[in-house]
Amino acid sequence: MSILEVKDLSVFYDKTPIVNKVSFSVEKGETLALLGPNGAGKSTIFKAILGLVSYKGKITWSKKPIIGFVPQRFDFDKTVPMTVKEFMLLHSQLKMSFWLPSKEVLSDIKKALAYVNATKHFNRKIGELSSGEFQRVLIARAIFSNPDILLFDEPTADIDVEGEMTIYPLLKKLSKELSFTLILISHDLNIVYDFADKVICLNKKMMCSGSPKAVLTPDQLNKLYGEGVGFYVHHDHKH
Amino acid sequence: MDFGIITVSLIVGISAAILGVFIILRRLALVSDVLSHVALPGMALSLFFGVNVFFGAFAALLLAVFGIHFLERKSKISFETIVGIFFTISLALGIVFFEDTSELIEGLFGSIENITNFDVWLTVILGGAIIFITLFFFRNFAHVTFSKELAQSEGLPVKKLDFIFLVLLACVIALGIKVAGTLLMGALTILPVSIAKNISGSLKSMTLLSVLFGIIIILLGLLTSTLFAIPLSAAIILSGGVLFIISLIK
Repeated sequence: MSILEVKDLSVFYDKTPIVNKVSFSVEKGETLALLGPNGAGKSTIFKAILGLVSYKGKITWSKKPIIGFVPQRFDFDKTVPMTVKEFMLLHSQLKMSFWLPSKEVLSDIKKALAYVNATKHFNRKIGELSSGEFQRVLIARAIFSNPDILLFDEPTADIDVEGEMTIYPLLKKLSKELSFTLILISHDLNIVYDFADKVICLNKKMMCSGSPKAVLTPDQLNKLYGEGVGFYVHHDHKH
Repeated sequence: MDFGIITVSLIVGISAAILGVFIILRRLALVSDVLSHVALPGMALSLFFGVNVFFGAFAALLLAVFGIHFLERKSKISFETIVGIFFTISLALGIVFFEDTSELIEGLFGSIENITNFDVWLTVILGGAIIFITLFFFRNFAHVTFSKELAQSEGLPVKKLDFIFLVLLACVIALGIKVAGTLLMGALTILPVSIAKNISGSLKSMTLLSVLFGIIIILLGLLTSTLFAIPLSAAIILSGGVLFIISLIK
């Protein structure tokens, strides 16, 4: 059963199409990867799904979803003394509990942080976290509302190798445990190969879609990224 | 010292400090400083028509913040450029509109000794409202400040919150102009928060300390102004400056 159906989605910037008539659907519990070069419109599709940009076409949900979102970029003043606990308390679902949060709320926050092995950061300032640690906190924040679907926009830079190597198995595990559907944007072909059930290749318009095995062929990759992009399947990720 | 002066100064100090948290978080320190000068032509027109200067200052500030907000969204001109243009035009208009140089000096440096009962009541009511509204929307303001995208994705009305913030900013600057003048009012929104930021371990403690330093700076200013017979606006800002330097020492 499709949880999300996108039909003929187009997004324009100054009359120039950023995304051009893209259609796809996502099944409940599925992991879908959006693949494509920089500027292909992947993050823009997320923005359209989240209602952050105006678009043409149809985005249909099977029921009103709770969406968790991990953005690609998160620019903030790192000198501001905001703790991880406070950052979690900013969540819109919590209404008025910022100043005097109840024990239940704090325990829920710790539970969400525990899912991503980040409980130890509870009282740390977010400006002091490494990019990998902060990304875990962002994931904890996104799963805090028990989402039906999680949109994960992979950062293009700054994430340490250790963070990158462990985040995808963790996301996959969480999607099973908390039974949410996962749409991820990734630039790493190996990660897409290992973790996605379905892949959509984009370069402003739809280039290909299907299972990673069917789609990630040298021919398709050449079409998507241009000549000379190599892809070697390796199996050293720990699941 | 007059009870009205103490009340007005303290309420302005507290409301500026609490709203200042978001001015600093949004990295708008210089903007708020520059913006206060925009009030000048409005104040001059108020004097011309015999209206309380708060209303002229507030109207001019409101016009400016919405003008800046509108141009930022609709044009490709950078935020700093727009603010710079508004600031210099307002300053020039202020100089043209003020008929009396002594009135211009009062506008620039504050004139708290001339406050009326109406000013006191206006400050109590509006200052109280600014404090209440900022605390009420505190979590949402903080959320929007940290990530508009994330806040919007969680269903927060980002544009409405920005609008409310800008009205509050115009209001607090207009209220504080009698105390600190257009030249120094911006500092009242920046100094307490900057001191608090240097020594705080969390956003909550930064906000509470910011209010505390807002009060301390005003009280120290009132004291030194009386003791050394210097203008109150300068005494307040210098007290804040000294505390800021101390807060840098670890």
